[in-house]
Amino acid sequence: MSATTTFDLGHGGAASLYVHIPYCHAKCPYCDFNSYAATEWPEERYADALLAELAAYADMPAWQGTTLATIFFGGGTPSLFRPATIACLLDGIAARWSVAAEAEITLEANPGTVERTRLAGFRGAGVNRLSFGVQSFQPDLLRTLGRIHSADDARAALAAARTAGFDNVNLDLIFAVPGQTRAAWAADVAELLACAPEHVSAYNLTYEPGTPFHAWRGRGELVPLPEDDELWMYEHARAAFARAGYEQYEISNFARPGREAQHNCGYWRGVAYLGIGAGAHSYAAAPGWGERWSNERIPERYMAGVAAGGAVASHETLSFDTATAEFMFLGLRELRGVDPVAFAARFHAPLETVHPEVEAFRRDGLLVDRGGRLALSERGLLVADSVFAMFL
Amino acid sequence: MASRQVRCARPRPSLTRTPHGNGPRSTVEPRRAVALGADPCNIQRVHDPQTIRNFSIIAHIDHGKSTLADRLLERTGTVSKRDMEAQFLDDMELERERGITIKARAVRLKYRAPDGTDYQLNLIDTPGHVDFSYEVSRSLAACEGAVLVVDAAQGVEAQTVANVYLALDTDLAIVPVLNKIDLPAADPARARQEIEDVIGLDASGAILTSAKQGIGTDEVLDAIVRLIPPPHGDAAAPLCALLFDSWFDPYHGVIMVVRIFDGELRPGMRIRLVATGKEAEVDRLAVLAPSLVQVDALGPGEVGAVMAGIKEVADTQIGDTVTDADRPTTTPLPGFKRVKPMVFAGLYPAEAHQYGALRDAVEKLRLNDSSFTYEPENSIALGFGFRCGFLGLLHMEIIQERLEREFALTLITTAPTCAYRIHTTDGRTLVVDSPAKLPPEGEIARMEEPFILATIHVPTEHLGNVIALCEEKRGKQREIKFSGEKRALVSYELPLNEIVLDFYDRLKSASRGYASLDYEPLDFRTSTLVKLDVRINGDIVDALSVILHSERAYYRGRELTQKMRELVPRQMFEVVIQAAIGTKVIARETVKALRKNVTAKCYGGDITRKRKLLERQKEGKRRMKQVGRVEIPQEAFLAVLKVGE
Repeated sequence: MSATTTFDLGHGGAASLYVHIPYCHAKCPYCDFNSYAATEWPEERYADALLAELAAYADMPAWQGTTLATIFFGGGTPSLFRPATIACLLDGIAARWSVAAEAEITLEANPGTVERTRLAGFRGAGVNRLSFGVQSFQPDLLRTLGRIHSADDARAALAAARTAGFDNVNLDLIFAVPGQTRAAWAADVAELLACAPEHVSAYNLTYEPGTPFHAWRGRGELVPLPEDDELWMYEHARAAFARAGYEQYEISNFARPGREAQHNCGYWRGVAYLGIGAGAHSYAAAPGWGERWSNERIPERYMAGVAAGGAVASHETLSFDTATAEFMFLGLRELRGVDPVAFAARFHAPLETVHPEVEAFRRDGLLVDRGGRLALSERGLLVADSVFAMFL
Repeated sequence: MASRQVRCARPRPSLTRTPHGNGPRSTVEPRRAVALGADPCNIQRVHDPQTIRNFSIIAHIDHGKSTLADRLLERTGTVSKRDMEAQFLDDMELERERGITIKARAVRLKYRAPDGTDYQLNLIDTPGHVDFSYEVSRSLAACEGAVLVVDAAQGVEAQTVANVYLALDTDLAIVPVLNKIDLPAADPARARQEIEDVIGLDASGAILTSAKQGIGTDEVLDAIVRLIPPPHGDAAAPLCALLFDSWFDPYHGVIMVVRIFDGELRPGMRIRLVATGKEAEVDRLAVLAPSLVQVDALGPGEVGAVMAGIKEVADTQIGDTVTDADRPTTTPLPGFKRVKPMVFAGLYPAEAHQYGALRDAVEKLRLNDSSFTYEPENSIALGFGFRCGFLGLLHMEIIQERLEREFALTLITTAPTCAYRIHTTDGRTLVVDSPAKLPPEGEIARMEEPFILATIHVPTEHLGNVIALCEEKRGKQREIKFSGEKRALVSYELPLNEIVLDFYDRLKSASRGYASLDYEPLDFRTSTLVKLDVRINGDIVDALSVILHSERAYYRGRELTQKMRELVPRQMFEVVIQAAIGTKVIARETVKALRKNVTAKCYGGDITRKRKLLERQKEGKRRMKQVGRVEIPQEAFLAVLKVGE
């Protein structure tokens, strides 16, 4: 991005900010995020780089007048950073950017690593939402997943969060873990509901290239669950969460009314976001059909890049076709679906003309019209990737 | 797609097991520089037949035929060492790669014997696969002798045997050569014994050579002039010449290679091809030395090239007699057969936009190979393509491979079939070479299928297996003859239909490779044939239909549907695969609907990555063929070829 580029962000000046903290105590064998196991990390140097990167963006005309509606500290394990560092970052953000009064400010935390005493500090720094990577309450599954916390840690972490004053907490669960039985998953779901978080993410385990899990599966050391079990687990979770008053608003996300993750919704809705930190991704809806770019992934190279004037490693200008496809496969992740009127407004062409395949999906009962929007049907939800691929 | 989507472009094992040569006599490119050269070797004059020897080389693949030929060319100075590309005779890319000879070709060697006599040696190279046995027989008919090359380490291989028998049937003198004697594993005594036992030929005088090392080359040349009789012929008689090879050259039109039996050929002469009736005036004569060297005349016993401005290769049929139009011979050469395609299959471009390129390519191949036929065909599943006729399965594979390799096409081939004769209820008779052209069941009064007479040479120890195979293939035994204790000759009347798919491969495995097959068309016989359709969610996949004997239908139907079930990926709905005869379903398999394909992760705003994963998924679909709404991978169209394996 050149500093002379001028464009409006396409979304009335509202944007999200993502801050990547790439360090972890241990790297989980299924994880393909940009994270690095470390016993110590250059917390101040890294925070300085984040602030420097943020300052550079704030000086760009394109980002003038932007209001940050959400801020998300993701990782890695952001809770490894001291509350004072997080406070310093949030202060730095607020000094240069307009932050909405009710902004959702999320921090990801590991139940096993978090110092529960820190939670109050994070709250005091301005964080108002926590997201814990619980993953499971079953000791054997936590071992399989390489998690270093226990089920008790998870429960204690949530209790500490409440004590610290957090009234908006997400818990992550993973299902379809090798060795996981249907009963074990049902138990995880029940335990999670007993914790009564405001938000739940239930992720189907995937075997990502480059991870130990992928290699182990290739060698036959890990045997994926049968499709029928995966399907049962997904359906069980959907039903159980619904009964407990959590609305499924996205493929893997469930929330009490009004507690949807606004930051993530921004991704699906084409809201502009700035990603700062190692390997962070950014998106601007303009100029043209939008741009995506991302930073150097290796933390040291990222910091060196920022010091040298820029850490962007890749940049992509979206074509019309790509942008319209993204509109569909991102928007359809939300169960409410996409708005054909918004599509036509953005792309100056009717949705059905650009994506005639919509009609076949309707006929097949994979897409449905619901309240003026086009959404995945119950069956479409289960084969969402197959539906999404057709828009490309 | 680099490989044949449908059939692998690499030589398949079944190909490498074929005899020492095979393939159609076809080229697209002119095979040699056709600029007619001067005559440095003074080969202008018509030769005394006593100093001519016409011979071919018979050998199993890899036993050193081409290397020996190279040594002969080199030793006689026909090709200088400097110009020698390794394995001169096999200059087509495909041949080089397979180490086999696809085309017949001839080359003249000038040899001065130790006694000072100058000889004209015509080396006539032959293809050797059963698909081309007629062409082999015509090449051999142009010779008086053959050099039999046997690898001294490997001994006699099965595929050599058939051609030796053909040579013996043609009364050729055989010069046995044991090659590769430089190898540590060479066992000339054992190889000699095998020649005597398996072929029944006296090998006591077999020459020991190492073509690679140049050992024994002189002895081979000496034996050729000593053991192979000179040709006989009457220069004053009406012209009688055997046409045994022809190809299209863009500058000279069709170039015919002939062996003269009687009379003389001279430029300006009007010639007639007896079988096709084609008449033309000779423009030029040449010998292949090995590039074309113009000559003034060709006399009895000689081999040479004739250029007469003929435009169509189809006018110059292999085995035809070339005679003087003004003074025709009264005794054309025996053995001519019009070569007709026996096996038919659809060839389709894997990607529709290659249709035009495929059309150009088949047109070009047809220019040089009149045994290959084609006509446009249209498949619901595969789009536009061509119904093509071939001499046999190997011919089909070679054509397909050449189309893919030389014209950079990716093809889908449908199941090979033969041509059936259909008598309709309203009294018409149709010849149907494609299941798609079969009239509705109700309009068919009677169907006939072609039979062939198969002649199989087999060691007696494998006789039982071979008979069992022939019986399984609905064969009717005609006779069994024993030659000595170890070899038998079996002849069977077999439906061609049973041969086209896998008979040759099955025969080879039933006899551990030692059986050889030759066949000729016999007649058409009434049979209870049915058309087996494959339906996918109710839609007939026309490219998968086959015509077969009713007794075979149930088994094939089951196999086919099972194979398809493995190959059709799960879709967003259930896919029902049925095998049906008319409306009667005889086998059914189900590909369950894809129940779940959703991975939720889309982390930290890395949308690009997610999009690329989806794009890859979509790309896989693009390579599929659509039948109704079902996506079928191209491999599935091959399933029909693979059942029974």
